[in-house]
Amino acid sequence: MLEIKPILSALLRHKSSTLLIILQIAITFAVVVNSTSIIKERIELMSRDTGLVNDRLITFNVNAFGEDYDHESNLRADLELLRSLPGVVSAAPMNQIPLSGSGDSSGVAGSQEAVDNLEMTGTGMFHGDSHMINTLGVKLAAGRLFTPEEITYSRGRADVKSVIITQALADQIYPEGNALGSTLFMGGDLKMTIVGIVEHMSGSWPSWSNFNYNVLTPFVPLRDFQRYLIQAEDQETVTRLLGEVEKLLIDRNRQRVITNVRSMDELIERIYADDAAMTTILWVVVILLVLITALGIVGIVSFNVNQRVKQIGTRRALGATRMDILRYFVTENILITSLGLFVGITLTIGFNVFLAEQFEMPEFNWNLIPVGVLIMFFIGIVSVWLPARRASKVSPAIATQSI
Amino acid sequence: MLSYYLKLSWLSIKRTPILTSLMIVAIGLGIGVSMTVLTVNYMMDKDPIPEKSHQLYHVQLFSYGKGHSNSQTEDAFPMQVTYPDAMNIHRSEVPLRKTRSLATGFTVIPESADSPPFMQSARAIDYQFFDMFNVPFIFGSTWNEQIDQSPREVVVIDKELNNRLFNGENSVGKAVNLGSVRYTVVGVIDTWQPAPRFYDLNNGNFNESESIFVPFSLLPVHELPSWGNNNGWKTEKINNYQEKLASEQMWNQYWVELPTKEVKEEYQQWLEGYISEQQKLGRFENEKAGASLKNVIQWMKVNQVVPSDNSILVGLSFMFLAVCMINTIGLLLAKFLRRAPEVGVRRALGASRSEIFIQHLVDVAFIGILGGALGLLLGQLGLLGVKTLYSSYSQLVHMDLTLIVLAIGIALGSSVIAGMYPAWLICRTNPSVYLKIQ
Repeated sequence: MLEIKPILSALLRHKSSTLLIILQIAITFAVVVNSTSIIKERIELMSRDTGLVNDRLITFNVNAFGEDYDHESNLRADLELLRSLPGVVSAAPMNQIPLSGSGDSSGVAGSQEAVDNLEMTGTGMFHGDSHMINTLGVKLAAGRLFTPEEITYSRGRADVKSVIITQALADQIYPEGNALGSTLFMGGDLKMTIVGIVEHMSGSWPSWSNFNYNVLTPFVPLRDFQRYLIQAEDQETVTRLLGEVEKLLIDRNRQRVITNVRSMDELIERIYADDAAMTTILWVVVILLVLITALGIVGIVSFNVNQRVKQIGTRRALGATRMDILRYFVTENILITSLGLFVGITLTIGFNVFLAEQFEMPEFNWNLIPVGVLIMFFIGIVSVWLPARRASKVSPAIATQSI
Repeated sequence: MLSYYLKLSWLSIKRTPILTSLMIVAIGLGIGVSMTVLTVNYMMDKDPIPEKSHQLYHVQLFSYGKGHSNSQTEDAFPMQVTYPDAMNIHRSEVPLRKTRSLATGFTVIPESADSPPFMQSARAIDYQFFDMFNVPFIFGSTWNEQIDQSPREVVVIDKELNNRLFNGENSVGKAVNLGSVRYTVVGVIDTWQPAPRFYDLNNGNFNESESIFVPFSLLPVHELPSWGNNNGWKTEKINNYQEKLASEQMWNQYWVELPTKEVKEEYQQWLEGYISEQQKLGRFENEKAGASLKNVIQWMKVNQVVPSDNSILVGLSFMFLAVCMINTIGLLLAKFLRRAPEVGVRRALGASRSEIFIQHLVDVAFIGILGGALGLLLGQLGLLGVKTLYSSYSQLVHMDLTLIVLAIGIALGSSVIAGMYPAWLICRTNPSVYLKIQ
């Protein structure tokens, strides 16, 4: 019914061009599936939950200069000004902003023993005042937030007694789930009590494996360089504040320069810029490759049709319908595609093993293979359609004509 | 003969315009994509200072305590040195030139009241920095050697800042307000933007160079802040700048120029001697304690200047090129076989097999060159795309002559290879078959 036998014998007569299409389909498949796998992985990376109210946050830096600049009174006045602005929900001074790509990190442990054995866990260290957690929009899972009385304002190191940590870190250093109320060891004689645990909160470096291990402390370092974070009511306020925050702060005190006024969405865009670019480039490669392969199939099948015009005419004259001719070419294509995919799947697996060894790639997404197979069949049939239709229109009269 | 073949090629192209343009597009896309990726890779990996890259060494000292190491590097060495180490090894007379280095920054306060203050990244270095890294001066020169011992407020600025503050005039001897301190300009350098920015790969491989250069000896005087990484392994109470200077924190960088292998070995020994001297004082307690000298090329490797994404893309783009070429072979087969009757006649009229073979290769080469030209155009378009995608690469992505020649070479080479089989097949045409039909 499907004329597999005559198709096969016809293919065997055109070994080289058949082999070429098979090879082309195989490589295309391997590249498309592996690229899609990387694209998928990057998109998942970029769309991870940050735990913050991304679209309502603004951050900026204040760089103070001048000999007689009083850090503490200026900080308090700045915060009072920011919190009084219409549309501002909350504002806090912070030493680092999640997803900004810069900040402080430190090793911590759940026991003195771990400290002594140098088995400390690297964490992001977030310093700020009692408004910090609410401003970030991070949710408290257990315990309490910092009280205003707890906050130390200091030019040097602070003698901090209490900390809040992320759930991920709590699970890491206190696997039994008894982190709340326990001690956080920071090396030397530095010890703090864990007074609260927050659900999920992104750190500053997305490529760091300890991205979700973060410590928040009730400490505001007083330095020439100060970061602020504001949570706005809505998107309009974000846009408005981005435009006016610099002027407002400079007008209050001219002895400083405001830099890096950015929304959290912009920070996220910046930190993932390379991943986004990689995704775009891979998309372009995939689309162009599929296009090339499709055009190649169109070219070869057209050639085959041209070469076989006489035979097609003869078949038509002997009673084959247009449908039969169309089906012949489509079946031929499906056969070739299947062979190509068989080689392609082998190639994909090999290629992926190589990539995984070379570049620490995450686990390959096996369900992309059936998706890729369907796509390749679709492309094959679409590109064979036009020349096959032309073949089906060959008039039976051709058979009786001599050249 | 060649002109005759070219004429035949042109005729055959005209006869099969669709098939031929399909091939040109296929080769063009293949070349365009692989050249885009190759250009970015080539530019990233390019030696930023070829005349000296094997004489300039970045110094790494394994000053960690017991049990500590750097998980980011293969040899576990820290990327930077402590301030005490930077100060101490600066005593060595072995290197031809040497510089301590720190990424810092200032608030620049223009004289005129109507231009607002602005932030500017800066670098604290020693007077030989400019000579070491071949930094070109427009006005003045570096500061006096003595200033590296007895600090004074002098500054070298770059052309851009000089334009902004002094309208591009010779500003040597004039004053610049950096924060609350007045600095005297001693030199103005021309635009200097090595890519990658090899002299500080800790702070962005392709970031802009600094506009302000001040003596490293001013660190303790004006408490210059660190704008780069500060890595500590020891629990230390650091309450002020003086304590930071004395600490085991690694936040300074050190470069030396060692002109010969012998000098390099001598310096390596000097550093080992320094380390054992320090061990007597209770530092460098790690069993791996030692010194590592890496030249510019090695230092770029350690810092993975070419991201792994790029290597993946190079692999993919060559597979892409392979598909395009396989595609071209298929299309060539079709094109040539269609011409079989004509070839049969030519063979019957006395053309030899090799003549037919060469004629068809000329045919293919012609298509290859056209494809290569299209590929170069598409490559430029691709680079424009890369520029918009990666803003920090903007100065990197341009094709130089080497790359253009390479592109045409790959196009020509790969299409001739692709054409071999079809041309061989066609030159074996048996004339009698086609003569019979005719």
